Amino acid sequence: MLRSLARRTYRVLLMLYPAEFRHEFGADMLLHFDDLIVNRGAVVATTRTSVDLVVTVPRYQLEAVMNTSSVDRMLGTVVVALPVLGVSSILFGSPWAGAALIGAGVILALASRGRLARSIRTAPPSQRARRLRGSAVSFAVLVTAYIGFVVVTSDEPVSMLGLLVTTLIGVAALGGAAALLVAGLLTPKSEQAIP
Amino acid sequence: METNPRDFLPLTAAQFHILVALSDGVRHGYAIMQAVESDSDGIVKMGPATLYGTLKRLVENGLAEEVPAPDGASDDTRRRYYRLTGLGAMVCSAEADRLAALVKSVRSSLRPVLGLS
Repeated sequence: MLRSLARRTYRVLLMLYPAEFRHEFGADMLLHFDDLIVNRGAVVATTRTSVDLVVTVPRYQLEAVMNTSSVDRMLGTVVVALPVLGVSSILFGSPWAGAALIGAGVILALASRGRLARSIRTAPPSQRARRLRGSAVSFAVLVTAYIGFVVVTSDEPVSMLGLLVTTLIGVAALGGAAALLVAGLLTPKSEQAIP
Repeated sequence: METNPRDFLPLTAAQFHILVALSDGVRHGYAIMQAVESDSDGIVKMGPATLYGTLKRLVENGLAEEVPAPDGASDDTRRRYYRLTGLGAMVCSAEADRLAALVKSVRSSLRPVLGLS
């Protein structure tokens, strides 16, 4: 009973580790925990892995955030988000703020173009499907937001807040769909294609 | 260009203990943990995440490698086995030399403090 509970708890707690680490070693760690339970008992297994969890979860999460691909992903998000916010600002009557945001996005994209291109071209082929799927989801969000907007506004006048939220969602979804589509198409199809 | 083992020094305690455990031959994760505990007289108790995180780093750096289960390994087929690479053995040896020099230096420094001639 106690062993089963400890095992289930540990299995759930493994979710705290970064996905990549979990996929690579999650099964090994669970097997290791089972061995510990069998050889040392549930109390020792739980105590030892609890200390291990407290120490390693923040460290591995931080490493996952700070690794190159995460920084590149963040950079790509900012490069897309700045023009999206810029276009939204222009649509809401702040052309100067909008132009500044778009300009900042363009400057950032130009300054980091080598890094962005490298992160796209050297991504594993599994990223291609993920990016294209993300693009399709963003496009679906765009269509849903548009249909929702049309349905709501056909019955009653839309509020300023509603218009703002819908526009932001629509522009963000459009920008995200376009960026992910381009990134997905440029991602190599196979390992051999990675330069 | 050949990799210099000294470029990997100093190793962390976990890295060194795992390399020492693998110097005895091919082992799976849990067996490595048992060997580390045994080699350190029970002082070093390595948790699963520390063990596999360190193994991952060692494999990425080419100091250890995953290998198929050795003949006669009759236990769970889900287990993954690891062994020391040539570079790993050189790095382990270089770290042992570094620590030996450190121990010698400490003993020499502490001799007067401890009142030993």
